[in-house]
Amino acid sequence: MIKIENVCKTYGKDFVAVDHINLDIKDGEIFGFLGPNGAGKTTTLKMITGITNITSGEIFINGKSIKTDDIAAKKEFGFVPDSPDVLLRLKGIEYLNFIASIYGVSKETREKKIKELATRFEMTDALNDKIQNYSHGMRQKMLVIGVLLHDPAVWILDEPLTGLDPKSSFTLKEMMREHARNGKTVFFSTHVLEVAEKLCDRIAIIDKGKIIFVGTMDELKKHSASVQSLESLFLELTDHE
Amino acid sequence: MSRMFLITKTMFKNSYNFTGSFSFGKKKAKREEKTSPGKRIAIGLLMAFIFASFFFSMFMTGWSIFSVAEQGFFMPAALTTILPIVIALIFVFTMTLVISIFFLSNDTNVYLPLPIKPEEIFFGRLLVASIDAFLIEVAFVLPFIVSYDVVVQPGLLVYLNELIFILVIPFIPLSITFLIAIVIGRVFNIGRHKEAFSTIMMVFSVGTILVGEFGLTAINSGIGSGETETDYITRTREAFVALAEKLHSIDFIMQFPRNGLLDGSLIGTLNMLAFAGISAALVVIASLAAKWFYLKTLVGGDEHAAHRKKGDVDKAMKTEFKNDKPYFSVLKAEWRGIVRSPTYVFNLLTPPILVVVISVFSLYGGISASEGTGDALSFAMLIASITPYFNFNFGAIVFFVGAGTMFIAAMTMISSTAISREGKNAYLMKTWPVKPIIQLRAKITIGTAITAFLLFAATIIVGVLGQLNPLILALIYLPIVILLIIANYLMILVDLVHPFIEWDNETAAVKQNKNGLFGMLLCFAFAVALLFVGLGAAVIRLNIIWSFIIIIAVSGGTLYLLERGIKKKGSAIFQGIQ
Repeated sequence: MIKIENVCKTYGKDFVAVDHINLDIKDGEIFGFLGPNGAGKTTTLKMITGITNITSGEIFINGKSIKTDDIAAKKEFGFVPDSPDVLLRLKGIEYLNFIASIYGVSKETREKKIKELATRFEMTDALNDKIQNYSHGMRQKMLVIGVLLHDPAVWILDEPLTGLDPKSSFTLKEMMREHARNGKTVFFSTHVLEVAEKLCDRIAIIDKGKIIFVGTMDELKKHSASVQSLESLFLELTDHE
Repeated sequence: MSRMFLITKTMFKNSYNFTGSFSFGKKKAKREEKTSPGKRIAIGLLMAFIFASFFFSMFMTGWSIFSVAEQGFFMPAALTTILPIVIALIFVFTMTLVISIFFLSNDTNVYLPLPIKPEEIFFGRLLVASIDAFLIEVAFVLPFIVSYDVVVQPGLLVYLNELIFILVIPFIPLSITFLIAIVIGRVFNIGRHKEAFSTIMMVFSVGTILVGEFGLTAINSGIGSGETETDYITRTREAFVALAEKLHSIDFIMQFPRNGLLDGSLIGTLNMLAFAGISAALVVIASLAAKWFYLKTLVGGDEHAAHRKKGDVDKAMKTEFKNDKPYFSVLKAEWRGIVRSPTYVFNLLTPPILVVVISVFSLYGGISASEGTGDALSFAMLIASITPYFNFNFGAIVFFVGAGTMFIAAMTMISSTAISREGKNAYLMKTWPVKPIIQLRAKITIGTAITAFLLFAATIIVGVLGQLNPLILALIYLPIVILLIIANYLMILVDLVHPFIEWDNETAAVKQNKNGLFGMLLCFAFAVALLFVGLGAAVIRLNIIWSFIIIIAVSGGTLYLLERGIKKKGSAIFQGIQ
């Protein structure tokens, strides 16, 4: 469960990147976070994960505050950033081992899970190579495997499907569904409206730092019955002029 | 503990440190590019040569000082002076380590969302930095210790004290630099103002180098003409004692390692252990500071406020939308890339400026001693002492200045990292419909122009103060420009063979680039060759006009061949960018 209470992020005196947002993402829910470029999606994700300070407001992950109890809160989630260029000089297997140790995954479990996930994402042969020699999609898959290793209660993913081949994309979507079915939370940002439509239980649309819509896809469609497609609806909602 | 070890191991493997650059022995995965055994041996030999040169020069400096100190019975004063200088040297190098490892590593955003405590990140980074610091210590501190042992032969307990000294010494500068950085971090966000932070730390390090150099020049200027060895020992003792008195304020710390090195009894060992205790206390203070403040200096490092004004956009549109030729477009991009990054400017220009400043002060010291006065000389006297060599009958000066030019060009490493500095943009260079020779010319123009400007200013200053014939100046300066172009071509070609594109941060692109080292060595080889030709010209008393004709013909021919080769290779010149 993620609870975002009246969160603000300002830069300098007058630039408001995220403006008093409130979200309540429940267990067992796949929640999509949409918005145009520069709307505040990544800033919000960075505040949730502790990469960026919160100017005001509070964020709770499974009841633990990222502001005041950050280590405990961080144990509750796994995060896939938008850029998969992390720890490039480590081999895939070294990266996974590092993540498993940080989250205290036992030796037996990590071995079993790494084998299983690497097979599922077709990464077994690449595990002994340095990450810097991977393609963009392979790096993305390695990050996803890292997150799945410790089976966190909350998955937070920033543009997780970018760069993945169709099979891996399908596999990841299936795993997100499985995760939610097991009563856990998936929170991800995306630009792909069709993905949000097919995958999400609920979505939020952020524009210029403000949440302009929260609800199901059906509620979004009802929002403006005259609009033909989801794309036109999105454009109408986020039209700046 | 195992978790701590794992964090450290991960940080060490991921950092592009000195040892991490080469993977000897272990079989590499099939996807990875394999380094040929010949290349590995060549790199190993090169590193061994550089290390041996450093070690030998530091050993000789230490040996000459300690020998005189032993004869003149002023070893305590000598150690009181030398130990802070040695620590200051370590300080300079560890400052760079602290900046790049603690504050500018691009893996910070990987650790921030993980449940890792700030003090764990601190200790991991501290251990990674200390491994590199120990390597630096082997080149800069160990030779002093060995030279001290050779001269004094102090006994078993002192050897133990020396071991303690070597083990603890990196932690003092590392902790102090970290604490300074944390204080700076309380004023502004280091992650967000990396450039300003790097500049502040580099000003500190340059200041420390200059203070150390002035100190050494002031006390160790060599035996002057008409001076007996006894006079020299007396003068040196007085200089050391005077400086040791000036350093009295830091004696409350420095007395411990000094006593540890001088006293072969248990008291000496207790003193050295007290020094180790001070070092440990500093680490504890730094780790407490890390616990409370370190994460605050890292969080939000990649945030940037948007200050957009409509007027600015209109203005930019007017100035930017010009139909520049490809050469000028690349030139403009290269120039902006350099001047908009104070880190680059500082990294690139500090070495040549330091070389000039240190050379001038060393020359001062040498001339001062040869005059037998021991007093500082005026700049005019320095110029007056070198201007007699700038005459029509001493053609060797053209080659000597040429050798100096190659040396300065090697130190100004703008072109040597020009491709690597592009990072992943380097791939785009291959896709542009612009001839490679045009792109390379545009890039080397910047490196050549900056160094040529510095040397032009130096030529004019020497010319005006020395009242030199303008024709002599022209005969000397013209080869300088051609040699600079050659040096920049050589360095950029070395960088093109295997550019370092996947770097951590901008400082790493410049500082951790082996290509810079190879380009530099190539220019040094050129400089040495010119030096020998100059010596030959001096022996046969070659006229300056003939020297000019020879150097222009050879350097002009070399430049022509280089350009022709690059043109002939065409796009294949970029095959190293992969």
